[in-house]
Amino acid sequence: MKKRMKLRSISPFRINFDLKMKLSTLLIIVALFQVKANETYSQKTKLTLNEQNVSIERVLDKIETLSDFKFAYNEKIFNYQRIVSINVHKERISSILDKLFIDTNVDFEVYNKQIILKIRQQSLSFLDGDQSKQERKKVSGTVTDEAGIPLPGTSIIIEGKLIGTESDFDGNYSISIPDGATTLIISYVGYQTQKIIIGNQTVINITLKEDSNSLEEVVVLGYGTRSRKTIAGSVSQISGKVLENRPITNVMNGLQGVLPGLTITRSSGRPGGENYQLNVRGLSSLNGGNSPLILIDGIEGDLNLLNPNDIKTTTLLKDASAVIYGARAAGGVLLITTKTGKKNQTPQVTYSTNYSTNVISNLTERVNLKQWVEMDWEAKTAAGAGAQFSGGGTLQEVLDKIDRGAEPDDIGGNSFLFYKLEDWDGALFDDATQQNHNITITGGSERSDYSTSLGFTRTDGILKNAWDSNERVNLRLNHGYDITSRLRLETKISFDRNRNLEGAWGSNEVFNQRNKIFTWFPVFSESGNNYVTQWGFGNPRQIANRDQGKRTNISENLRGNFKLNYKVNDDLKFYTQVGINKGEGSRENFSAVSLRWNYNDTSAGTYRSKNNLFLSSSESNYKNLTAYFDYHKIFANKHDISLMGGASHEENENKSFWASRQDFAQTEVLSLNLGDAENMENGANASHWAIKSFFGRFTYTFDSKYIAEINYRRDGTSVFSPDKRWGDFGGVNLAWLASEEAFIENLNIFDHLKLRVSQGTTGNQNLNTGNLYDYIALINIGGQYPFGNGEKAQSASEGGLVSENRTWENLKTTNFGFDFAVLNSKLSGSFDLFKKENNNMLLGVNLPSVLGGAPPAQNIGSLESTGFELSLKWTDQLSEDFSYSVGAYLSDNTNKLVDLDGRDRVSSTREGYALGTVFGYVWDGIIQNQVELNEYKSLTGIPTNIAIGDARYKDVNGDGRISVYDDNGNDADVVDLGTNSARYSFGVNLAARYKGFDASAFIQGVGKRTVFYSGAFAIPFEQPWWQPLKRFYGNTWTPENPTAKYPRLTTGGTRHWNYRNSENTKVNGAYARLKNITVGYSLPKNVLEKAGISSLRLYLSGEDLFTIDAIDGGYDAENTDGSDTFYPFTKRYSVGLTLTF
Amino acid sequence: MKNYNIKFLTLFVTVAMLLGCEKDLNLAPLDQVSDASFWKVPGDFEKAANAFYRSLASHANGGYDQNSDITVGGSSNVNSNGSLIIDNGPNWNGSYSTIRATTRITENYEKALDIQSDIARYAAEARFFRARAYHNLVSTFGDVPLITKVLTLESEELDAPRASRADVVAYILEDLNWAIANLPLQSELATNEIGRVTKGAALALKSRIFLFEGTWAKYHASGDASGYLTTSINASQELIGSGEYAIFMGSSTAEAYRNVFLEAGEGSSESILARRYNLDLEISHNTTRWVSTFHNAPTKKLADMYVCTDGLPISISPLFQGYDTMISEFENRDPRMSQTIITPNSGVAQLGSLIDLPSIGSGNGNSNSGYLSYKFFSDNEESQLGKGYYDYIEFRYAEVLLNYAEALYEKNGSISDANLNTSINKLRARVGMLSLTNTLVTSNSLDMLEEIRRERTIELAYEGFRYNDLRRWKQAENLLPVNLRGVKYTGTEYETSPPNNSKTISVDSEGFVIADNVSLRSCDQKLYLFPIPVEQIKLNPNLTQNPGW
Repeated sequence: MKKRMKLRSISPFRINFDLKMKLSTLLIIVALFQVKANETYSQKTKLTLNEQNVSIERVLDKIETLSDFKFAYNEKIFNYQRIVSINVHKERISSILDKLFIDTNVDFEVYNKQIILKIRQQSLSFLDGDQSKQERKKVSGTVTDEAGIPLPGTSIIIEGKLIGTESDFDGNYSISIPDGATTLIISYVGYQTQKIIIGNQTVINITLKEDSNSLEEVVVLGYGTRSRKTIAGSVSQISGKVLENRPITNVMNGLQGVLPGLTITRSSGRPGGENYQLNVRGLSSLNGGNSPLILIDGIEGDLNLLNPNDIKTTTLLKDASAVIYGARAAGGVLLITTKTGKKNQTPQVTYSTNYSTNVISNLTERVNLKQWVEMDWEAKTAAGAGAQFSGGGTLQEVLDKIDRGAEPDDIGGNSFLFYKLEDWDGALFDDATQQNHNITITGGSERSDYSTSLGFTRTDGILKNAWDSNERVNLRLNHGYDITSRLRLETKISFDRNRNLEGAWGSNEVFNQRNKIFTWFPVFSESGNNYVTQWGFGNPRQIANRDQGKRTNISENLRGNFKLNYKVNDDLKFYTQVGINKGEGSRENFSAVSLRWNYNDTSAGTYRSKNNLFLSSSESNYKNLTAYFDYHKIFANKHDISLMGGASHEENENKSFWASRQDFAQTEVLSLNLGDAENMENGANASHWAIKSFFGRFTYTFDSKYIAEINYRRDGTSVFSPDKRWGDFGGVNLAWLASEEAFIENLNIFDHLKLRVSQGTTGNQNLNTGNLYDYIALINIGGQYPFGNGEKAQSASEGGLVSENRTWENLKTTNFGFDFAVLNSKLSGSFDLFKKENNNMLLGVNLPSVLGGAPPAQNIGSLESTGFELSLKWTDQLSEDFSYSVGAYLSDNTNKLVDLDGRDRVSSTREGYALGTVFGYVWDGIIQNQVELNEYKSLTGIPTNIAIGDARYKDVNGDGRISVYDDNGNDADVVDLGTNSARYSFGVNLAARYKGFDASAFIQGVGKRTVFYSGAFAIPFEQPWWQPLKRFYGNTWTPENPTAKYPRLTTGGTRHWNYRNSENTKVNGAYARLKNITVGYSLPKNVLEKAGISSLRLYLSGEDLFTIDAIDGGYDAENTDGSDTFYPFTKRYSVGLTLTF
Repeated sequence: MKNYNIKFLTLFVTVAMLLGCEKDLNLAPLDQVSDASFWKVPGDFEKAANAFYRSLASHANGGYDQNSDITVGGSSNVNSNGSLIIDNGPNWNGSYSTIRATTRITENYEKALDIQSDIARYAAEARFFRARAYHNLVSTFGDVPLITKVLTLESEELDAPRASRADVVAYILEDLNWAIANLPLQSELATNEIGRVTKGAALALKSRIFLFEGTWAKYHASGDASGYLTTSINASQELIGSGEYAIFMGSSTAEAYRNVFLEAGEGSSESILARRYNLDLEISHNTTRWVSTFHNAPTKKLADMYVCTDGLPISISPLFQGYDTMISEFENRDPRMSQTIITPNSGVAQLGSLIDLPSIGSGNGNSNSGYLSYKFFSDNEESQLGKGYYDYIEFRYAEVLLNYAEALYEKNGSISDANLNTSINKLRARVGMLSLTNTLVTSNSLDMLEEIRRERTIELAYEGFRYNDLRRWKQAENLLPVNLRGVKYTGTEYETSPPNNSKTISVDSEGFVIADNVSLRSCDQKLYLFPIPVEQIKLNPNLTQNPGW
């Protein structure tokens, strides 16, 4: 078999040589304009030739001599020795080649200066029929995507005729229109098909829109891809577009509420410290492993560090489809694919940016000075204690002093009572800014494609004059290269760097103090120079201040991902992939000496008498080596078989080291060696794990209607003892493409209807929470006990009892679902019902405590989760100018601890109840009078000093005692008050486009959730020296206000009784939040073309602007644990642009 | 073409084979040693023994004894008022954890033959802590399962029934005797070993445990009272005779007692074993600030127990000045009174603010009884800002002297003046009080046992002894179900020119503040032994519950 390639040009990279040289100047913009100029070489250059009776090869040689053009062709495809004659005068290369190859099957593509000769594609051969000789009208134009990037290979077909063409590499097309033809149909994989009335137009430029719901869309699965139409499992995929043009700081910020079945929560608004948590379809285990496995281009990765703009698709495997990832897939699998260039694409540069102003939202409301004094007076009096302001006169006198802004009262001991209202929030907070910049350059030649990007994001926090910011830089180069026609190399290299700054006390501490200190303390001392402190309180303004020190936290991540694809023939392919993630983390915490001052500027001691510097550095090395093959063949046109199989090895090692010193004489140069050696400390940690896997998938599709898929994986881990190390995971997906059946087609209802059912098992191995060597008995060394004169004596203790019998938790997932499209696919949707059963959940065995240690976890528990997901989408194009779409989804899940090995105790993990269930008493109103009080006091288990105005709970079991358990250990008076989990998560997407204008809105919410606040948020005077928050003002019981929601104010012991968990303290955490609203305008193409710009879109965007909920007092609905140290979220008002040229 | 095929198939197969290699999965920890490689050098045993020191009693928030009749908090204590329910009973997991950890040392000591002489002291420390753990169990629950080896998940002993109190006490005695034989004297400790368990500490523990067991046996009519008391007496005598310890005398009788517990008394020869705090290691406590919140206030019971300077109780002493003013009752009293309770208007200040004016009521800065606690309150500014570094002394010489006097009297029904002089009168001398003598007792119709118990209560007030003392004396049923009273309110300055206003104060018929009302207090017989945790009974079918629970 002689298949010699004859490549006329020497180096394939030569294609890009000019471009690369110029980019290397780093003057990106300048270089790009030069690139633009080069694009037109083939158009500008005109040649004169006169060759008679020579071989084609000689003509080509001649052209190469006369110009910079280079030819590449396979000698087999045509006879280049054929004798021709040609005579042209100052003609373009395309015209010359047209003449040269007329009446042959040779096609050519001009790529910059490279010309590739090839056989005309089969699909176009029908153009060469008789019709081509008829006289026809011609229509031409350019096909681009929404960003203005030309789409080569777009199919343009004339409706009703078997005539069509494809766009060329510049997106240009030209087609002859036969008589009677009225409409063009333009389609391209992954884009919405468009129909255009031809009318009298001769130039028709077409912009295709990406279609995420398209049935032909390529969906990423584990170790392969598949068209959406033929997917048998429950898989959601969204395109990276949903993350573009939004002022988001982080991938998870952008994914929140976008994928049905994926719940993303955040617990802080601190830049870079949001603590996003991902969960797919509810909880799978008590032991963690509830968040999905995240794979970026097939290799495990960290979403926090990823540039949202680099994402091409995000795919969520929810059911037995995840089985292919076996032991780590119990929480589902999130597959991220990054953007690549396209072959035969001219270089495109996209610059996008947005600037935001971030405005604090939902700050818990503080009481003002008068309200504080009134509440304190009431509460202290009730407790028989003296009111804080009792030194300032009677209540009325104090209130009068406040009205006239009296000078402070000196009450001795350097303490003062203040009568002027302080604007603490003004002193603490300010609007902040945020900016995103991204430059992406993509392109490709016949053999290679590339996409490279540089991103920068900076978010400043809302704390004034504080270290409170996050910066991320992302660099990425994705490159694909066909080494031969069979062998392709794909490299994806990225570098991410995140730098987070915080004050020495931590930003959360500012909120902790802000929510607790007395409202009426002044910020500054009498002289105005010092931050005031009194009675040991922290001054939040001081705590926030830059002069207190700084925490710098830097993470860097270098990822290399190399994949070699080898095509043996059209059916069989081999893939070998190597992934390396190298993570580096460093912390530098400097804490300055911190002084405390009384209002009269006398010293009140120190918060911290010695400065100190803490340094830590950590390193992680992750390696992944994977090899698999993929075989696909269709037999007898009906039997479509694919078989995939392979193996992988993953290993990870973490190391960290830290050291600290105190007492730096100066703080100009902060280097560890300059600190006092007396109290230096250091330490180190290290851990590692490894997993080996074998996996396979067999898919059989019969007649394009019936799909059966079997996934299998065998995993071995270092975490379990050799005997229990290997686990087998498998699953089956079945689907029926009903709309392919004649009897369904005849109904004329469904454009698409697919029924799916699947069942499979996955494992739960949470590798991030320690327990890496649970089968080896270990000794923990640590602690310090001060013998002698501060001897730092370490201690050694048993590292927990071990079990050699532990193994994987097995999670069985069953899914039933269907997808449909009706009304010409204007309405489409899908519905899934699922059940997850963890039948050998790891639980600590319950053994008598005489054992003397916690028994190791063994596979004895059982948890069951059920739920559904529903998504619907309506898209319609009313005219060429106006289109709109509405999408919505709703999902829900609940779980139940079926078996907890007989442990039936009132707790958030209780047999027969959902995880996180909150138990509480039954609210029975407030004790209104002496009669009610006397009657209630006949019960035991109530506070001895209970009084009128205090809470009353029902004695549910009637044993005369308010208690959790009765004497026999059974439940007494507590009931299930609900769980903190989000129920009925929903999202609504609205989008519309009119000519150049586009608008979209995205609403996300939770239909049901029970929240209980904690700390200062939960109880007024939780500690008598904490301020009561505004929510309680006027809402507590007094004889004059007997119908108040909350019991009387008191600093006495009954306050905790009054705010025990009950229906009365339960907060309805349901909400709907306008996550994003965007209005954009794309400038008309004809205007931009003159400036050499392919597209320019300007937009205004807002994040989290508006929320509907039932919560008062400034609490945030997303603060799901109700913590009083919560850093609030911000609303973002943003302006941005996207420029492509 | 063939070449490519072969090359890449070879590559693929090679990679696949690499992936199949099982041994990559045998990973050992990188920053922890395994149990199998531990227990090789003396340092290993030392580290293992170090783990127990954090379990020594530490500073409580404002001192102990709120479970008894001598102090009272803002809310009523369930032990003191007898309302303890089974759910809130003490757990025993902690003690059995200590027993496991200590037994791991003793078992490995037996195996480490080549280094045994170097590690005997650590095995002795382990047995000291094991004896202490079993004492906690026995004194709390009575009979408990006696576990003498390290259990595995399959051990039959997991379902062990309760061993008799006598058997457990015998086991304790064996541990203590071994520990005493193998521990160094205080004076033999190297500087960097100060703070470790000594022979003296083991003797002190023996003195304490066998006084407890002896009096328990006597008053609860079970066991060998006389034998136990003799064991206690001998242990106390050996410790006293060692000359290793002495009462801290300080610089003046007005400060000496208070300073035992503060910076000035740190590391004194009165301290036998203490929980240590350290400035450099930032191991600190907030005790001074807690004391100053007065949430653990002295009761009238405690205040009245201090005798007058003539050695007589206030009921008969002519020196007693009555309750008419805020400070009258503090006059002519045992100086330990004003070193335990703040004398109003005496100038006690915290960070410059005076805190010596009683404000009656619950809540921060108020005293429920009107009396203000003072013991453990430091004048040091760091301590007042919340960073106290003074040690908490769990075993001090004073207790051993008190144990000695009490055991002697309980065993013999009498105590000689000589023995009083080697014990209780050392404590009286510290504060410049008259000695307790048999003559004083008989000539004033006093009861020597009551005087010995009085001495113990006031000397050890706030140190957590009182409740267990009431239990072993079988006096809880008599002394707990009473009004816990405070200062005299009716007709005194507290009523006529109150330091603070807006109060609802309940008083008894004599005009004393009622801090905790008798109507809500009781003491059932079952309370002498605590309930075994219900969960443990569910898990072990052989475990029985204490009577009454």
